[in-house]
Amino acid sequence: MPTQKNIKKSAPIKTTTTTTTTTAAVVPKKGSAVKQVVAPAPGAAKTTVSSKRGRTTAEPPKKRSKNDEELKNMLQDIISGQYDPEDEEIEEDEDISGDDDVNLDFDDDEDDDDEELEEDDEELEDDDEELEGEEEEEDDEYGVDQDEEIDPDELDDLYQDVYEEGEDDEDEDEDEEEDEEEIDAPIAIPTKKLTKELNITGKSFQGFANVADILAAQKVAGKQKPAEMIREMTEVDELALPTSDLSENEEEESAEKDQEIQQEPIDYNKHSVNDKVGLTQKLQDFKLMVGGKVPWVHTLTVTTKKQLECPNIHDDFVREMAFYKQTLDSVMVCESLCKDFKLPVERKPDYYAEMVKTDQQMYKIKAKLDEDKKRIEKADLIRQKRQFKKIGKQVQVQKQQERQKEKSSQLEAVKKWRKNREKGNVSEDFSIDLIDEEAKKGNNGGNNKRKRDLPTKGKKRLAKDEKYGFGGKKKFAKSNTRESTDAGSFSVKRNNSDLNNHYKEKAQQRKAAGGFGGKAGSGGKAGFGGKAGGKSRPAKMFKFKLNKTKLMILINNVMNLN
Amino acid sequence: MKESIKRKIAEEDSKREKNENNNKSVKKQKNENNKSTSRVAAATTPQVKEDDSIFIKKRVLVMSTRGISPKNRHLMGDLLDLIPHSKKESKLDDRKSLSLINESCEMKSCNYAILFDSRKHTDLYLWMAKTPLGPTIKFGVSNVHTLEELQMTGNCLKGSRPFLHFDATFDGQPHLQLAKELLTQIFSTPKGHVKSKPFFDHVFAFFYQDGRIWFRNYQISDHEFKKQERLLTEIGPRMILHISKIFSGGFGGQVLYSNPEFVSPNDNRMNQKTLKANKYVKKIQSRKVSEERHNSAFIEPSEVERLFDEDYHGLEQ
Repeated sequence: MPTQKNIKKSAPIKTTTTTTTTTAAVVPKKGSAVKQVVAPAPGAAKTTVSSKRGRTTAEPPKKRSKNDEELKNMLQDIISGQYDPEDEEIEEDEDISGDDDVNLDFDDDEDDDDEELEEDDEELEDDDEELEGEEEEEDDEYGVDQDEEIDPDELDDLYQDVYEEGEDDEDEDEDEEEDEEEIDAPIAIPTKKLTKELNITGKSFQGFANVADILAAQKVAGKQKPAEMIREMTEVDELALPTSDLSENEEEESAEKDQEIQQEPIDYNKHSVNDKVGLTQKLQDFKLMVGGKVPWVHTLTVTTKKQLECPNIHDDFVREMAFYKQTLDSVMVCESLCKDFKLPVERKPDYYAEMVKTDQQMYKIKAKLDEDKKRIEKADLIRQKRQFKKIGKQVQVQKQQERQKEKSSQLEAVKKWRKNREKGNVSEDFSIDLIDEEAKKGNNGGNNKRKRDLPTKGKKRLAKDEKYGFGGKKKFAKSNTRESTDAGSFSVKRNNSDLNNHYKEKAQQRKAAGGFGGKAGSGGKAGFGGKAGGKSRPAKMFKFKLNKTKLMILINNVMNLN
Repeated sequence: MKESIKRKIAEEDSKREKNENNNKSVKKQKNENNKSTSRVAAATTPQVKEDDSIFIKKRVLVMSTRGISPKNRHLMGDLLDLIPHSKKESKLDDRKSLSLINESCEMKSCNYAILFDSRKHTDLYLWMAKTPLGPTIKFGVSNVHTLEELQMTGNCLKGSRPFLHFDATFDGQPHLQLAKELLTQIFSTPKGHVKSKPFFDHVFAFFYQDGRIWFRNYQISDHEFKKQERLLTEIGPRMILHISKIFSGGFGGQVLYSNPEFVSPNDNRMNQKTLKANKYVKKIQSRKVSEERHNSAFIEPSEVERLFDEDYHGLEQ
């Protein structure tokens, strides 16, 4: 149904085009579009569709039903081509003239176009809600498929569409009105800037505290190409402003320069002014010169030939080093110049004068320096200690190993000496060996010093060492070992023999006590029963020394009980 | 005030005329149309006595606006110490009528002015001007370190004339050339000044890096310490000057240069605040989104799963 759609849109609007063309300056109103659609229908009843914009929305639905047929007819006319735009104007006017119900903009009886125009113009002036431009635009958009034919079957649909269109128009009108109202109302400027998106260019300088942020931002900014707001200083850009404080000559000069350099007018950006000519002019004006030269004696100024190259301006150390080096170079230059001009550089040692910083201040500075030094030393010490703690155990182990080595070597030496002694040569070899070793170590040089520092043993000590021994494990030295006692002579059996004998004797004694020995035992038990409180202690019972007399008494007692 | 300026202008004009006349007499070059060439000629002729006075008769008026922070006040004091040909003026009340400074300069017979313009008790702008004819440069100042700080160990004589060191960049662009010229004129102590000393023991170093002018002051230590090498120790103060604007007149006139890269500290703060605010807003938004996601992802437990749920049973019954 593409054609249908087209038509449905074109139908109401076509009429508007006619109005614009025929009545020249007559500006169609929104509402009138609908009205005009209705007007030319043959034998039409009076148009009841309101022409007043905005108020049509409140219209009762009965009017619509009344106009249904009219609309249908009209549509048919339009589609079949009977509908004549030339007639429209007149008919419309007639209709309108006869129409009392509707509030029309131009409601006079006269058909005269000119008068009507005038009136219309007046109306326009009065009317606040004219929307000429928009109407025309719509015409342009939709006034295309006007003459297409459509089956009568689809007319109902079409009508429906048209009607809806009319409604839409009304709605639109309303909307437009609202829009206008909105425009009339003071425009609310958002005062809060909370949601403002920021592009950090890194140009906002924030000290060194957040250099990392700035760098990061700059990295981001490097990828984007910033808009060219700054005017690059090219020759084309040169522009002379009429400077007020220039003398006539200078102004002439500047004018000459202007002529020399053909300039193009430049839009002045508020944020970037770079009046190169003006600057140079000003510089020339106020520069202090004698004979075209600036005497160095007066200014003492040195400008480097090379630009300072600082890889990272935000790295304090790097920057300061770069500054320092450059300054130092220029100081050397200055001093040589001073020599040329015969100016004394160094002050005499007896020349005392007030300094910029007072002595108090300098003392403070010194104190601070000392403190810093101390603090650094302290920190170093603490760090050393901490490290020592970490590797302390390793060192200990190492030391022990060293000691062990020494000891073993000494022991070996002693063994050697002993062997030698056993062979026959008593003390000479030992001494010779020692001397040899010492000579060897002396050649090495490293350990010699250490050995020399050790206290040498006296004769007495040596003798005692020989007698009692020296070194080695002292713990359990006096306790017996297997070797200290003869291993073969000792046996456990023999060692415990007396105990065994004792047991045997006991057993014999029990046998000697007779056949009731067992009973006696049980009797004993009974006798102790009350005392023990139920707990029997057979082991102790055995340990009692059973005298014959006691036994006899016990037996008697038992007998009596029985 | 205007009269005074006019007078000055007239004086300068007369001077110039004199010069030109002299030139004409010397060079016998009376081509009036080609005045620029005559000026060049004037520059080449030696006129010692008159011109020396240009360098010698220099005075700098140093003043600040009200509400200057202590640190900046100290900085001002340091500059006063380091520039022997300077005079201090009482604080300026009205920031709007800066051109009045021209007048006060004349009252104090100064031809240069340094104004410490502090805003909101925090931000510092430094105006350097040749009064009354200009130019004037307005710097934004950051990273100030004064002499009071203990980290800079150097020291120098009070009033000794400094060497001035400039980076090569200053000879490039015209606005930098202008800045260099003004800085030299203000900071170089005139030869034979009453308060000056006949020795050189410090350097003012100006570097142009990162679109800013970095100021350093080094002591040139004595030869006694190290005979082969010179040693520099920093005295201070330190500061970074960011050129904001250059005016043609003294505290006024045409804007000859305005730096597009200069972000006023106010804007800077605002940007940071908005950034922070954005952060908060984003956080809240993300939280909302995540909550929604949670809600949408929640699946109602089926009856079987709720079988042993006491509450559920209770509801059913």
